Amino acid sequence: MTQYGFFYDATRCTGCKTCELACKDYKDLPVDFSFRHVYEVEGGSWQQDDAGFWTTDSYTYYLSMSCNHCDEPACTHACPTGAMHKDTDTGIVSVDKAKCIGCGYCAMACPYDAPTVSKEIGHSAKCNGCAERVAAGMQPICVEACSGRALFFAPIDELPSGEGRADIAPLPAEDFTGPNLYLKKCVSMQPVATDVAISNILEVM
Amino acid sequence: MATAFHELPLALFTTLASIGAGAFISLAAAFFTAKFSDGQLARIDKLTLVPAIVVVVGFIAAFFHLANPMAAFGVFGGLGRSPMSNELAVAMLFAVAMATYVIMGLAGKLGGARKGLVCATAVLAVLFAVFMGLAYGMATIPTWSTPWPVAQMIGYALLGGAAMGACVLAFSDALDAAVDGTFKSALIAFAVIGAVLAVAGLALMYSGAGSVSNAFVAGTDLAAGASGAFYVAVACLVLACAAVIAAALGKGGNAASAIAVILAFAGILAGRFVFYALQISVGISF
Repeated sequence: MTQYGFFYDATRCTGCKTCELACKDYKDLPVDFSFRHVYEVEGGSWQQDDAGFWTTDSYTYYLSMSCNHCDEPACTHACPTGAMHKDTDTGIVSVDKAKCIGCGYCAMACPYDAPTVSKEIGHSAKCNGCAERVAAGMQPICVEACSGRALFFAPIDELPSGEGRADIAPLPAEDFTGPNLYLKKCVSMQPVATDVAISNILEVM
Repeated sequence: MATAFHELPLALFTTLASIGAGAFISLAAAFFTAKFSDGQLARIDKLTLVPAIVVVVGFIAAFFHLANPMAAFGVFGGLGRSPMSNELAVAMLFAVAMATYVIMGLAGKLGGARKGLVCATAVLAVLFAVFMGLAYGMATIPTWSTPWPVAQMIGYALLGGAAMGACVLAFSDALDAAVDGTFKSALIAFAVIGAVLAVAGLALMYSGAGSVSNAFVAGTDLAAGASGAFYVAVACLVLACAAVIAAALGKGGNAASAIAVILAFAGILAGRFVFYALQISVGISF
């Protein structure tokens, strides 16, 4: 099986959120609903030394992320009907709307906040890697819209070289689900389990 | 607590299903340990419809949780893989046994099959409670991925079932005859063991939440938000246990068992709200 995945170059991302909005526009999503989020991650502190000088180790970085089409998706494991499934040819995880009962277990289980379920839409919905565009030889709309060329989508062995799978805060350790999100880290990025804050919570939740 | 109230249909389902199913555990113990007259058996069989209806109302409540209930027949597609499919498969087995038992009882045709059928229904009720607890065993939600939800659900079924079972017997004018023998000890044991499992399971999950956090929320904040429901749950569960013991000791008449059911319902429902309020992910969702 070919496994598709995303590559995110954090050294190029400016946090403009064009990827997020292009996805919302292309997928015709409502205002309060998004398949891709750009997280503004920050942390650190200020310290004053004995001489009265202040220094800081504060940092901030962006993380653009949608579904990571994991090797062992928590959502497909939890789904009772098999509506949430992993394509055997591409490894893309998507929802069979006809099978979905909208129980919300996929949304509960996913540690990347990828699926959303509501009575308004009537089923689980999430990023499907723009499968129809990829099948037609194009890139997902978020990748195509990125003005900084910070996003890529391809079979994982064809992605640019970086530092491996996403294993940075505030994400969980990669061994929970094996996310197919690969990174080129910026210097600010913090390791998994670092106590970071997300400064745009109202925007991404 | 906003997360918890969002899950009201599931909270009602797990509350009503555990009380209704648990009643068959107590009734099974009664039939194995006490002698009833034909008139008492007929009245018990009629009133056994009540816990069955409680279970059915619980199932109906669960449907209100679904965004697309019309596709619900596919829920067994994940059998063996999905904890929810496993739970619902056991639920269906229990429902079939319960319906068979209740319908045969209403038709007066239980005869020699009574003990076998009620025993099978009781065993499936225990399994149903276990699988309701296992349904939330998601590795990505550390507050739920523990033995405590299973302990809670078994406790709720034993305590709530003891209350409902005592109520069925009391309003069938059969509780006095039942508690004349060893059923008294069995009923008290179900209530006490159930209360201990429920309260301990809830308290351990509640205290454990304090050590979990992610970038969005701290477990200590979730626990603080659910503290009111937690204390209501513990108080009601302990009082429900006391009411069942009073009923088993022949004190308080029918009112004791009825009060026990009301307290068990309030305690279990509050406990379920606490459970849903303590949902916290290892990642970037609540």
